[in-house]
Amino acid sequence: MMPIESLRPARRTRPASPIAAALAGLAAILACLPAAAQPAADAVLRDFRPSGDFLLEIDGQKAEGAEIYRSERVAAILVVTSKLPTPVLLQPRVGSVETVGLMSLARRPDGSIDVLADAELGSAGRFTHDGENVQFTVGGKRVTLKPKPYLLGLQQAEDLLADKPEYARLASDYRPYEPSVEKLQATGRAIKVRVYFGSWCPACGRMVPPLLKVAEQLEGSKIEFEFYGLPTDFQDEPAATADDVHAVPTGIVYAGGKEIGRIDGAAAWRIPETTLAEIVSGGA
Amino acid sequence: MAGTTHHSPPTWKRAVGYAGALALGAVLLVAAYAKALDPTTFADQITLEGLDFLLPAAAVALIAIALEVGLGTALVLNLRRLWVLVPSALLSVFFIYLNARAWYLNATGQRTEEACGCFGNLVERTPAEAFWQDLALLVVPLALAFVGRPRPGQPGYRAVPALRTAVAVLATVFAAGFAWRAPELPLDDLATRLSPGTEVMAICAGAEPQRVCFDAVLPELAEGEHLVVMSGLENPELTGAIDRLNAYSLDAVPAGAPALWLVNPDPIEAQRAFFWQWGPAFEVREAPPALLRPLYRTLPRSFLVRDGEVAETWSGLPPFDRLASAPAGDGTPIAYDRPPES
Repeated sequence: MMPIESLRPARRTRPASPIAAALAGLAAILACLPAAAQPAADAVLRDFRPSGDFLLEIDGQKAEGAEIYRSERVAAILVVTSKLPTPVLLQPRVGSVETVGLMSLARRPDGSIDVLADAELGSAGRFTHDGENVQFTVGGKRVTLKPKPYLLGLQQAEDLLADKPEYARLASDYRPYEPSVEKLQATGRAIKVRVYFGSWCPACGRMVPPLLKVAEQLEGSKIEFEFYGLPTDFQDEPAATADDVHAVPTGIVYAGGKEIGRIDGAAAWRIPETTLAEIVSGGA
Repeated sequence: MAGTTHHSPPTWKRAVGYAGALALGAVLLVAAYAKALDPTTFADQITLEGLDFLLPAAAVALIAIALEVGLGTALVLNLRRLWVLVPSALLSVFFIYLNARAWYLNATGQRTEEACGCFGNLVERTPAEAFWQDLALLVVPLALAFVGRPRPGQPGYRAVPALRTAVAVLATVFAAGFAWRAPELPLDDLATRLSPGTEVMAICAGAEPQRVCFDAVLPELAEGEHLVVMSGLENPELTGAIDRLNAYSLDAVPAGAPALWLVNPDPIEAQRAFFWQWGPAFEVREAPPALLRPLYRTLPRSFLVRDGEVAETWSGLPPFDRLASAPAGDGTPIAYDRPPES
């Protein structure tokens, strides 16, 4: 499994050649400049983080590689794609569509984007929406922003992290409880954990990422993880019915093909590695 | 035959009978009290059961509450006459019938609890459990209440004891008036599970292992100061105040005012539509209806939390003017650059 951090936007790495080392030194000096010399972010239009909730279509075609960002401060969406002349800022409530110069965006080391304080926003009209799909026109192109289809069926952790940058960020920030991880790493039993989740489910968005980090740390151990995406009406889903799943997320733990316990309920998901360790050791 | 005199029943029979009447009367009074505090919800249940075929649900609710209080009071006052015991028996049978019907409809799939989002069905008490519990609470005391009851011809027998009957009638009238006015009275703290001092994280719904508590919805409430607004996303009082909520969130919260959260029982599609329609500058969280329902009589309802404990509650939206240190309370839309609305 790819390290969770590698699925976040790339950071600068230490160069190897002498020239590159000199440039890196210059960059280090520049980085020590007073804060006033750094590009200042707009007071409101900042902290745009990658969002995995949307799909972009331009003139009816899926725009591969489009980056959609969502502000954590105000209700605003930033669309960055080479298939449009400039990045586009959408502001719900007023339904406005504005263009933003690419040089007016600052990408931060943590992958977030700020609109710079001196950015000039160009009006590009208004968007329409039906509650789900948002449509607008920019540069003569018909643009549709729609909810990304839910992840359904069996998924690997990498699929989840690639599809949901929010999961990757939360997983990266999570610090598992080491004693529980060590206990799990030391187990001699072949364990499989199937996690039923909903990519539409906000609670899953908070509870599943920590387990993704735990899964990464247990790479190479006898514990395997798989993730099964359920639809919103999962009560009628055969897989959920067969495994008696009533809520998501639910993690079912198997040893030798037999269920030995579940990660079920908010309390169990609070520190999932500890819950899993208790199940594996037979203490749950 | 006229003029026949009966001996009074033995003391132990009268005691057993009164114990039964007292128990049944207490059950009816407690049930009526809960309904009277929130007659709107009771009226909704009447509509759900299809019992509003003769009169509007609100009227049926008032009559039912008044009847329960009148009979309950009469039983507590040991007014064990047939004109009290028979209606009490009919009322008890009716409640048991409703539970049995719900059990049957549930068992045959004709009525299912609405699943909501991540948390699935949260059922505190299954229809079967409700049926058996009500059977035990109603039938046993009812049967006992008939034991050793006063009968015509016994010494001192009066068919309608004046004082106790007057008290029961007064209680009936008072109950009807109270239930009629209750929605307008400031009774939310009394009528719901949310009041100052409540530990928010202990507010739960459903049975294990599907039990969901507030810490699954808003774990952030455990520490610090938070302002929580509960509302449906299409509530006009909420949507009419979005600019005030946004201004509070953008101006007052960074200046130190409690963080603002909107908790709602609506599905993901409604949350998406809310985002695009109203552009909230605060976090919106979904919660299962079963978790929220015991916390309000009407929405919106708001509360302030400090380190996991409810500090204040408000019917409707909170007083942003008082809570904000920044000038967010005058209703002025937020001031970041954007084109004017057409």
